[in-house]
Amino acid sequence: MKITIQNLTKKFPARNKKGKEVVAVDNMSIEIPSGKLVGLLGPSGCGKSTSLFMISGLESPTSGKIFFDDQDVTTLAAERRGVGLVFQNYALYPHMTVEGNIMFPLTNMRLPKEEAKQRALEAAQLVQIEDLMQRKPSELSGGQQQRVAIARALVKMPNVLLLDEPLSNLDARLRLQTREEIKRIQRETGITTVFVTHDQEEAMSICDIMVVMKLGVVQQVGAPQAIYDNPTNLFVANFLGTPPINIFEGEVKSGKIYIGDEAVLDTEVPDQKVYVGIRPEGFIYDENGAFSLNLDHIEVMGRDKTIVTAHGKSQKPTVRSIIDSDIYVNDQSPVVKFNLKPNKVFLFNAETEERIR
Amino acid sequence: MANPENKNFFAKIGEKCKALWESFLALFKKKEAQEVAAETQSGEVFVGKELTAKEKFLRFLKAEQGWLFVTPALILLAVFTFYPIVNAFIRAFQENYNPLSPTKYTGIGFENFVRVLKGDTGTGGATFLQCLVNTTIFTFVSVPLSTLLALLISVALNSIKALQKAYQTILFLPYLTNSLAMGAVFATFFTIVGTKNSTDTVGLVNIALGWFGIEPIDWMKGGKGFVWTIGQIRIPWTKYVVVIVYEIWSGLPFKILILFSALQSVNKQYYDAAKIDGASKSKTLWKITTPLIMPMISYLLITGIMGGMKQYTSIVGLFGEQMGIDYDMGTMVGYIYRYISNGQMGYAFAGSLLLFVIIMIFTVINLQASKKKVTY
Amino acid sequence: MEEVKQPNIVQEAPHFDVEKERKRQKVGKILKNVFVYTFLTFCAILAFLPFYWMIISSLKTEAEYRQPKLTLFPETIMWKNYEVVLTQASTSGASFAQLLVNTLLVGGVSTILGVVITILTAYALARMNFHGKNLLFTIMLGTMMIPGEMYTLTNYITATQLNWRDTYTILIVPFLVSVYYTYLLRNNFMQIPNSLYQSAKVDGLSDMGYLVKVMVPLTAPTLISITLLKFIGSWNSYIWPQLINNQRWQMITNWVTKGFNDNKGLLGPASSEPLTTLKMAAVCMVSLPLFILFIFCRKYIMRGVSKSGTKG
Repeated sequence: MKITIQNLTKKFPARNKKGKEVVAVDNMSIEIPSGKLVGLLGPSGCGKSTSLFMISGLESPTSGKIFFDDQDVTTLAAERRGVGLVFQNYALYPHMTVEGNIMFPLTNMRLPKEEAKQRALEAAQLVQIEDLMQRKPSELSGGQQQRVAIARALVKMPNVLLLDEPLSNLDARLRLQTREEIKRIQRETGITTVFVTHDQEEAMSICDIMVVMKLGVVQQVGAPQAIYDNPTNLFVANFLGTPPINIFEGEVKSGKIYIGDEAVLDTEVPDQKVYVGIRPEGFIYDENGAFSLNLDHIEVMGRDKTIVTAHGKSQKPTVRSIIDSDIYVNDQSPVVKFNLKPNKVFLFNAETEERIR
Repeated sequence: MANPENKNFFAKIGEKCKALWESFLALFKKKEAQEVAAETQSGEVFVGKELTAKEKFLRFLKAEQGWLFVTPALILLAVFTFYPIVNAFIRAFQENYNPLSPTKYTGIGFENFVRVLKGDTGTGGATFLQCLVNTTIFTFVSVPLSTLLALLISVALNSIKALQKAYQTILFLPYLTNSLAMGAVFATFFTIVGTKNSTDTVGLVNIALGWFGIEPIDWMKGGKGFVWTIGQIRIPWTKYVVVIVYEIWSGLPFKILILFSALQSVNKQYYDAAKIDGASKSKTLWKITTPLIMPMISYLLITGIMGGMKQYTSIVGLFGEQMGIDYDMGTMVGYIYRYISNGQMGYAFAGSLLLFVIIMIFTVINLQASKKKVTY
Repeated sequence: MEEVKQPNIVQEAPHFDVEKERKRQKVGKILKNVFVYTFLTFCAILAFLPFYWMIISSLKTEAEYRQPKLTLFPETIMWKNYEVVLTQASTSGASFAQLLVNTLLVGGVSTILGVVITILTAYALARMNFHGKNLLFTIMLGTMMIPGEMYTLTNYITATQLNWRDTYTILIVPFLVSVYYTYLLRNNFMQIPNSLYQSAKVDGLSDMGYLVKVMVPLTAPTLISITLLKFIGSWNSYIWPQLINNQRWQMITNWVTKGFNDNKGLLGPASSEPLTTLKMAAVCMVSLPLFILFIFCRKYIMRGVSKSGTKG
């Protein structure tokens, strides 16, 4: 099912009389194609969970519309939207068994008990918890609870599956495993799935489409790689990628990008003050390179090595550049020199922070 | 939220009783080990030098100074609680016990119990069985009803925003009353005042029933036609109605307070989840909300029943110190007090022991029943 | 898993009219609110009715009270009812003033002493180490399972033998220790981090000093609740005084069990018929002080009750 969101806005009233009302989601317009896995990504408080709850129907928007296919569902109550939602803390009913939890949505649809049992079992098989059916939620591990929550959301064959920070309560190892699981389940069922996360790596790794948000405003929508390669502004560039992008204060003078006194790269951009963003993998180690940095130390990771340096114009305390581990770097010299890969260097307007190049 | 300790409270006592025996053993077995531990706990470093008798004594005092703090309570409890409990178990088996006579009692056996249960105590008025039936019916009708009503009211209260505090306060008011005083007020609701020839007022309840075309009933008298008889047991049902209405009214505020705070502590996410799962409002109430606050509900039922089995003053408030006509509305506690005043202590002791056993039975049944439903 | 893959199991998009749905929800919400508020108002009225009835009845003339037509407000306000009630002694001679003095004295002393003992005991059980502590605590909790009537009997005999009958002492002493409040306060004390105790010890504070200067202020809300509930409990006590003492030594609630009449003819022709209005005036005088206490200490009382979870 296709989800269309038009000018969606959510304002929360001020906590006290003096306070200002909070705009959680500001004029959001996106289109989510049928059968895709979509990630809402942003730092905490960016309105991504609020957007999710509005799609589910648990929150009603202040203005704007939500369509499922061509049907306007903006005013439709959550219980009639046919969505499945996996809560951040799973919200499994503690007094019911796993089976009871999974069957609960079906009994509300007045399905015969036998059929409900059968379908609950199928859903449980899908997430591989069919052996745990008679347990209570308190007897399950976090990962198992997560699976029960997913099974409960899937069992009624929802139009849309929504997941609120599905991995945040799991430990690191389970997180990797579960995110692949989510991808697999989504592929198998073909249900349009929207999930919320603050972890860019998580979003990049499994999303078909990624929506980056900041302070209630959508910054960029697109395939993860496309956004990574082509961020629209400094925020998006900064938010994606580990280690994060390196940012320098710079200036464009007559077709050349200057960081400090050095002209590091040619460009066609007119003269102006800019922020220069360079991805860690955008550095080419070269003893005669155009860009010189003060060496701090070198981290060897096996597959590649990270040269940690510092620069007076850098916005961050250290500059990280990743190069092939085979390349020999003279760690005795106080200065290392690099050339830059043009497609890994982005220029941003110094005032608006919008992307120029 | 109402103290979460409440729900575990009875279970805790059970555990404690188990621990009692163990600590009792430990007291003898590990005495030496404990003394060493106590020395370390007292905070002084023991360097292996010989202690003088005085130092030893001081150290002992310091380790055991807790006893100093509990002494007042301990003395009072020993005299007015521990001893009386033991005493009750002994006296109940002594026949014709009289503290003032030089021989005190004439024999040992179950005579007191037999007479109490047979209603053969030589005095008129309600028998123990009558009192047991009265108390049980009052309790088992009023406690579940008021709990259910309290649940509905709390859910309603929990679903509103405006005026919530105000409603909560008003609904709590009846808690603070004196059961004698309010009993007297409730009695006026049901009383027909007047002489034989002319009726002055039929009372508030009859006036209200009159609006629906119902003839006035003399609730407080419960004359002919208003009494059911089962063997020796008489059930004047109009009077029962009066008691039950009053018990529900006076039991509600406490239950509302507890259930309301239990509801407030339920994670709102369960309601969201139920909505997503397509549960209707009533299904959410009975399948989600109620089970979630089941520990509190069962706590209320247990304490309600324990309290109900011991009721006394509310009946005195409604029907006067004679508890109706010749104690026909008597309760078990009323029975006991009557025999204290009579000076027939043996029957009173036997009655109190029976009361204890009955309460224990109900408590155990309750605990078993709620254990199944409560655990999750 | 095959079935799951089939897309046709996926629900159809719901079809409905947006505006209609909006209206339907609005109407539903209003209906729900009307229903809930009506229900709550009805319950609130029923909860409050006996109080209102008691007050207006106490201010009516007996004739007005007895007329078949209900009046929701007294036609003539009879403050005189209160005067008449106050001139009457209780069944065997104690005046209202005497009962009030008894109650305030017994209530005050037993509350203060009781709270002090509760604090000491709870502190020892929560923070101090001494042999047999657990045993003592267990036995104390165990007694809560036993109905109080079982010890009332022996206490009655003890009081008689000690020659304590018809004194204030016997009204105060047996009820000074409340196991439940001790248990409650002990738990409250246990919640205070142990590190505070250790740092106080380092600062050279004795156990007593720590109790008075740290523990008591920190648990003040609970202590206030306990104090209030204890006082209310003793205000409401009836059974024990009634059993053990003669009329001179009764508590205030004993007043309302009496039938009041107008045998001096202060309100009309003298008669020994019990008058409901007079009784209601007496009931008001016993109940209203609790109300006033509630108005000023609502927060503490409600919190105390919901925390302690005891009835009465």
